Amino acid sequence: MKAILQQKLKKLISKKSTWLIIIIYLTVGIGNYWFIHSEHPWANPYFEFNTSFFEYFVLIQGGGSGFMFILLPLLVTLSTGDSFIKTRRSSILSYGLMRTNLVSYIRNEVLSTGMISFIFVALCQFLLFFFSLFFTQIAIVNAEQGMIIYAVELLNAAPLIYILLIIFNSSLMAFFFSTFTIGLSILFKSLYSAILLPYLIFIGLSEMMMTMPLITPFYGKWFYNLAPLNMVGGYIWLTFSIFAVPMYWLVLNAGAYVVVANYFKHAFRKEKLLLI
Amino acid sequence: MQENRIEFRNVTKKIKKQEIIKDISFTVKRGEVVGIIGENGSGKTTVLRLASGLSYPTSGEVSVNGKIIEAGKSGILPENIGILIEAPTFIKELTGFDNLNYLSKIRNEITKEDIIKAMEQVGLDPKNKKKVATYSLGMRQRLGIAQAIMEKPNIILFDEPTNGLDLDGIERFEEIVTTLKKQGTSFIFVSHSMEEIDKLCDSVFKLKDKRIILQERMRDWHIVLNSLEDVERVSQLRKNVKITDRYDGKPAIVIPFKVDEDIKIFFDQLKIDYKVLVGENNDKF
Repeated sequence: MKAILQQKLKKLISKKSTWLIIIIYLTVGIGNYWFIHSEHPWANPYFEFNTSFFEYFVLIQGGGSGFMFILLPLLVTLSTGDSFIKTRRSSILSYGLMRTNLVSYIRNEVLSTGMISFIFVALCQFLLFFFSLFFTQIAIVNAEQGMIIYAVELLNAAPLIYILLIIFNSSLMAFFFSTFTIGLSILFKSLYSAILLPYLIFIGLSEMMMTMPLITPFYGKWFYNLAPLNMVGGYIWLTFSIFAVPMYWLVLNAGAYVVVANYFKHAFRKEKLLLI
Repeated sequence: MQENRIEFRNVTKKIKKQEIIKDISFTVKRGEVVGIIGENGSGKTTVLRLASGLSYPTSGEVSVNGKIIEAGKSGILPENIGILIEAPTFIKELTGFDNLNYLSKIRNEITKEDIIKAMEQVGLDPKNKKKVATYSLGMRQRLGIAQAIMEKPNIILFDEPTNGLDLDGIERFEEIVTTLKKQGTSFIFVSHSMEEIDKLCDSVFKLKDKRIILQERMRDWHIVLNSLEDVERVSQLRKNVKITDRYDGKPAIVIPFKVDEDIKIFFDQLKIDYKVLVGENNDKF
């Protein structure tokens, strides 16, 4: 597994598009810092001038004036979403299968791609957090202003641990999206389907779930809260237990693995898996 | 008795109700090189896929290293096989060495030195930092051969193995096959051309009308004639005649025929007396 991870990491680093995606991500992130900064105090009356860089980093994740939650899944699918479809469209899949069995192969593929996505998003988030030191204000956390609701006690008590939690949540999300791209790479043969469909499904499904309160106000609230868009970043504005978000992504990751592994075996049995 | 490495027993394969191959039976023994020829679309690659477990028969049985392939049921593929099916394509962003290293780590049975050795055997430089994206067809083919042999499997399946190879590549490939054959490795080669694989194969089958038939092959026969005039008449009709040392004072030639019946028909038509000196299995008459 270690060597497979190394090779996948090498592949990711050697792609020019990876660096372009990081630059876009950081540019949008820094733009989001400026946007939030430009809003106070008139757009957000509760927002104080001495908002700390910790809060800025959390606020740009989603909800309110943050828009990184729209970008984060795209960051994953653009960086690692091509991994399995390119393998499938090369001889590497046949050569790989000849060296193991179907179950081990797909397990290693999901784990290695997932871990690379996890690490990649974690590094990008750390980098953006690091930039918040330069583009926002170094101040003491004051979460009383009500802009952040999710696990706010932890933010006040241990802001750095809170940042790690936020990054951990988004990295778990990255793991899920990479598994999702593998699943779609088995279903479709197109590179663009593998990269863009997970994102389009993410936006479409989120929109559907977030309009459910209009249809059924009581149950709709659950759909709204559990919409993927909220769970990527919008949750900082919602009343969730500290464990709710990581559990959400862990459950989705486990479910996605079971579905993808079984579909992989099914596609092989039906001789629809190998393209070469 | 030589162990059977691959056995096809009455194998039929259908894809979307269309029969690709029908009732095929053949075996490949330890250290044997079997060739399969046929026109494009005759099902050659399907035979390799069945032997590798990447596909499974609609009816009949394929066993590899004594185990019946049940890829459709258990998802367990046969072990100890190296394959090169169709034009090999690799991860373009990685070097040749990195691609092989990545594949080797799946089984994790060989060292970097083994990969280096396999690359050198096919004439690729393991230190070459060029990405596979910049490789020529011949270089990708060499890399494909290296990945098939690097773990020293006891069965190797090659699809059009000399495709894109230059003379040096072909010579290296032939040397690899000869060496591994001596060590007991079994091979199946498929090709559209008899000439490409004939030299290396112990037996060649032809896929025709979905069935497989043992292909009769041209062999050199040593034949003694009565006079130089007879030699001249034969030479005028057949271009690939070689004159060899006289036998008991009579002129002798080496001439290719598939079977001895063909020799009889040929010389009877010319009304030339002849004597077969060395036959198909180098038996002296």
